[in-house]
Amino acid sequence: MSEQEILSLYQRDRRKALKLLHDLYADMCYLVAKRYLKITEDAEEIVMDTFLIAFEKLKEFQWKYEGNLRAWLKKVTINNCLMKLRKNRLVFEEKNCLEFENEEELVFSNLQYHEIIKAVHSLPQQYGLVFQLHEVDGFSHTEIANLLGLSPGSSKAYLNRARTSLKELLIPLGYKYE
Amino acid sequence: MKTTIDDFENNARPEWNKEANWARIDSKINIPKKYRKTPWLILLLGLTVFGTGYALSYYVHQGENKPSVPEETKIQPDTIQVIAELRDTVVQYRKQYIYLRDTVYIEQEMAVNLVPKSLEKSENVGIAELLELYIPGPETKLTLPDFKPIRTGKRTTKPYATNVFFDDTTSVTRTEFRIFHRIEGKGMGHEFGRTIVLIK
Repeated sequence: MSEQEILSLYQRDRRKALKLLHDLYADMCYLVAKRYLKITEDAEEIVMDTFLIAFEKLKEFQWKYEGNLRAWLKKVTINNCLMKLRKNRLVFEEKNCLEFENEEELVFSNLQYHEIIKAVHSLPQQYGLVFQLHEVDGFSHTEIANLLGLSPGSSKAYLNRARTSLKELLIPLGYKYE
Repeated sequence: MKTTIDDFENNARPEWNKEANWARIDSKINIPKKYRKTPWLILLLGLTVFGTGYALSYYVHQGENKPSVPEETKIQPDTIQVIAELRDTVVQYRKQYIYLRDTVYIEQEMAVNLVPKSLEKSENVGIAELLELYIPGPETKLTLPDFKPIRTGKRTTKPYATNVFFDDTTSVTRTEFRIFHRIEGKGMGHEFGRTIVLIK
């Protein structure tokens, strides 16, 4: 069932539409939440919160293209994760914005998903978070700065440190860095 | 073409309890939104009710909330029967620690002669009656003999001293006689003995 069909069903039967949406995108939301929060129970709770928000807010959702709803759900999931992390008192410090290098694309050709996530989780939480927001989920530094209450320069500095740490972690393990 | 994490997450089928997750969501969307995230409110309400009940109970036991004495109420020698009825009520709730109260009214002369005889010989376990007598008006303190401790196996209940207040004026002829049944919970299956307060 397409997103558009789900949204039109939502007008008639909200519960059924949400069930279809859950069938379609709950796995994705779970993986995103797990990527940010590490803990399975937390991730499951985030998925639940996300779909409860969807249940209420879908009536205001302006659908534009296929995949639009998925992207929105992903964003809600990430926002919920950030809220959860804030509750856990994750603190960011302002960094010297001259610290970052040129932003080159970081590509490890022979890494599996779980290996990347494991490596990212081994970073300090702030580094891992900025890395995921920027490199994986495509947020700009300005957006990250707004989300985390940082300056864009600090976001870049955090990202640079994350990238450096990841390289130091992965290259000795034999992963090829392109 | 590179495969991104985003692509992976869109297609992967992770092992997690998706059905249970839906069941939790489903149970919540069936509850009206205003009640959905308010367990703390329910807790607060519970605490308020409990607190109010406790405060009221304390206030009543202090003797400050004296109920008005109905003119027509008189306790005759069948008071024993009244108390026996109360005991039935008590037995019904014996699994819990409870505090029951009832109010009866007796003539002043009868009150003076009130002696909790049966408490001394009761084989009751963990139950005692606390008697409190008072009448409206200026108070003269008069103390009845303390109840003797009741041996209850390993346990000895405290003697329940009873302060009795009498009016020193002759105009008052009615005394409020309040009976407090206090059951000290000893778990299920506990047998209470017979406890009857006699009035001479």
